[in-house]
Amino acid sequence: MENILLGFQQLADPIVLLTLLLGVTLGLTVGALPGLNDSITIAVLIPVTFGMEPTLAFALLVGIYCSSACGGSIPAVLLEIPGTASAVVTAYDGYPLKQKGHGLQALSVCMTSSVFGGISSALVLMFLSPVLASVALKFGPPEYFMLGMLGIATVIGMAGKDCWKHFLSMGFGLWLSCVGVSTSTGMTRFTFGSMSLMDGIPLVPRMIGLFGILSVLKIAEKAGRKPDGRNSEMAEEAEHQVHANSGDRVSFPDRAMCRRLLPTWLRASAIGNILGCLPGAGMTMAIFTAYDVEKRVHPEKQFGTGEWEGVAAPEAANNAVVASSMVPLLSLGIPGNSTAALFIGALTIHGMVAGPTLFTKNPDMAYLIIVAFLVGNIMMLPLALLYCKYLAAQVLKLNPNVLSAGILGLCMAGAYAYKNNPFHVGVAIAFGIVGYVFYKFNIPTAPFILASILGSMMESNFINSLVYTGSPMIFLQRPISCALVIVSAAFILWPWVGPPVKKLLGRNKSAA
Amino acid sequence: MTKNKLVSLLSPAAFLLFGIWIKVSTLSMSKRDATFPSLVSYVIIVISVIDLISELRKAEHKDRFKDTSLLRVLACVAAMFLYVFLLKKIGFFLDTVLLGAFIMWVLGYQRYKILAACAVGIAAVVFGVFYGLLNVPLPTLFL
Repeated sequence: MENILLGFQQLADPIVLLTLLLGVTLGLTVGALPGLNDSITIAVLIPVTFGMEPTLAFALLVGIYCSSACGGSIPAVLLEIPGTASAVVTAYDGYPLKQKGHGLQALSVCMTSSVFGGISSALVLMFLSPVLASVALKFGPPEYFMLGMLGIATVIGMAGKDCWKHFLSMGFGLWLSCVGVSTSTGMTRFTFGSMSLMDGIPLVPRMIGLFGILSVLKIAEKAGRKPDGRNSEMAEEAEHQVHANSGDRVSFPDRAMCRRLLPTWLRASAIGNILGCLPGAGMTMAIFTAYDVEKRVHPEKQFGTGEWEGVAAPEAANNAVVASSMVPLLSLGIPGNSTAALFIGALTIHGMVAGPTLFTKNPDMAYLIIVAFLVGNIMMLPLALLYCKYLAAQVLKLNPNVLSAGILGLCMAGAYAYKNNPFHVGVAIAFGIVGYVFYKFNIPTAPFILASILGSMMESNFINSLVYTGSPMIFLQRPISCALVIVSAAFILWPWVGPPVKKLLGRNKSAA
Repeated sequence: MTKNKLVSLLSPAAFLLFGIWIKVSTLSMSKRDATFPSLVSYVIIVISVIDLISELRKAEHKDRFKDTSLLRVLACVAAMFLYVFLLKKIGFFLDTVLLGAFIMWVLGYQRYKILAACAVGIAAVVFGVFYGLLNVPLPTLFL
C-alpha cells in the first residue's frame, strides 16, 4: 500500500501529470491514424526519452500505450478503417451504427468501454504483479530458464496452423541474442569481426527498424495503388457529422446504456485481462474472443449490423490487454507483447532492469508505471470524448506520405542518438528490411522479438543450471521448474493437441 | 513448379541454410559457448525441413508480391542506406531534408512546394528536438 501511495505521490507532480496527458493525447492520435500504432510510436520515442527524467519518460510512454488502442476505434467507426489491428472487430458494428446515424454515440461507447477495460487491467497490474514478483525472487537458474521457455512456448501455442513459421522466427531471435561477447567465457560470437557488434545488437535500434522503418516500407509498397481520395472524403463527412446539429453527439453513455453494457464490459475485461497476462496472446485474440462470447451470450441479436455490445466488447477487451500485458514484464521480466517488450528498452536506457528486482531496486519507478496506467485510463475518458468532438476528424485528414517522412526522420535521429553512431542507423535499416521480409513471407515478428529479448537470460540460466548439476534432469527435479516444463510443453503441443481436444469436447457437448 | 511455389520455398530454404551456418560456426567455439547456439541451430534445421516439406505439399500458393510496388520499397531502402553514408559528410539536417523529400516523392506526393516545405519542417523539428532539447551531438555541417 505504501508503495502504491509512493507511485501516486510521484504522479502528483503537475509536470508528470501533464506529460501523461500529452502521452494519452499522442496515443489517441497515433491510434486514429491508420498505419501508425503504439509500438511504432513508442519505438521511435524511446530515444527521445534519453534526456528526460525517468518519471517523465515513463509517464509519456504509458500514456501512449494506454490510449492508442482506444484511438484505433475512431477511424474504425467513422471510416470503417481500423486505426490499429486491435480495432478490427470494432468496425463490424461501429460502422453500421454510424450508417444508422449513431456514429458519435458509438464512439462514446467505444471510449467508455476502453476506459472500463483499461481501469480493470490497471487494477490487475497493481495487485497481481507485486505478488508474482515476490514469488519470482525465490527462483533459481532452472526456474528462470523455464520462465523464458514458457514465454516463448505461449507465443508458439497461440500460433495455430502457422506454428512452424513461429518456431523459425523464435530460432532467429534466439540466435540474435547470441551475437556479441559471451557472458560465460567472454569470447566473441557471430560478430563478423565488427567491434560495434561486441555488445550484441542493441534493442532500441532493432525495435526502431522493426516498427518505425517497417511501417514506412509497408506504406511504400502500397503507394500509388489507391489514387482515390476515399479517406479524406469520408473524413470530411465525419467532420460534418461532428458539427451537424443532429441528435447524435459525443457524450458519456446514459445510465440505461451503462446498465445494458455493464455485463459486456465485465466479460470482455475478464477475457482481456486473462489473455493480456499470457505472453503472445495479445489484443487480436482478446477482441475476437470477446466478440465471439458476446455473440454466444446474445444469440437473439444480429451482430455486424450495429449492435452496441458489438462495439463495447472488443473495445473493453483491447484496453484490458494493455496494462495486463505489463504484468509478466514487471513481475517476471517477460514481455506480454511486442509493445510491452519496448518498455524493456526504455527501462534499460534509464539503467533499470525489468523483472522482479524492479520492485526491490526501483520500487518508485515500478509503482509509478502501475499508477500511471490507472490514472492514464481515468484521464482518458473526458479527454477521449473531447478528442472525438474536436480533433478526430482533423487528424483523419493527415497525409500518410508526410507522416512517413516524419516517422523516418525520427527513426534516423533516434537510432543515431542511441550511441551517437551511424552504425546503429544502419542496424535500424537492416531490421526494417528483416521485418519487411518476414512480413512478406508471413513470418510473425512477435516470437522473434520475444526470443531475442529472453535469449541471453535463457542461455546464462541454462548454462548455470547445467554447471551446478551437470544434468538436464535439474529442470524436472525442482517442483516449480517441473511445473513450468509441463505448462510449456502443453503450450508447444497445443497446435496439434488442441483441435482434436476441441472436437472431442464439442462432440461430448452435442451428445449431452 | 510454379513461380509462387518457388517463392514460398525461399523462406524455409533460407532458414535451413541459416541453421546449417550457425551449426558450422559453433564448431570453432568452446563447448560452453557453443551449447546454446547449437541447440538453436538444431531447432532451426529441423523446423525448416518440416516447413519446407509442408510448403512442398501445399496445393495452392498465394502470390506474395501481388499489388506490391517492390521498386518503391527498394528505392526507399537505397535512399536510407545513402542517408547513412552521407550522414557524417553533409550533416544531419541537410541529409534528413533530402531523405524526407525523396521519400515523400517516392510515395507519390505531387505538390512540390508543400513537399519541400514539409521536408524542411520535419528536419527542423527533429533536429530541434534531438540537438537542441536533448543535446544529442547530431553531425552538423556548419554548427
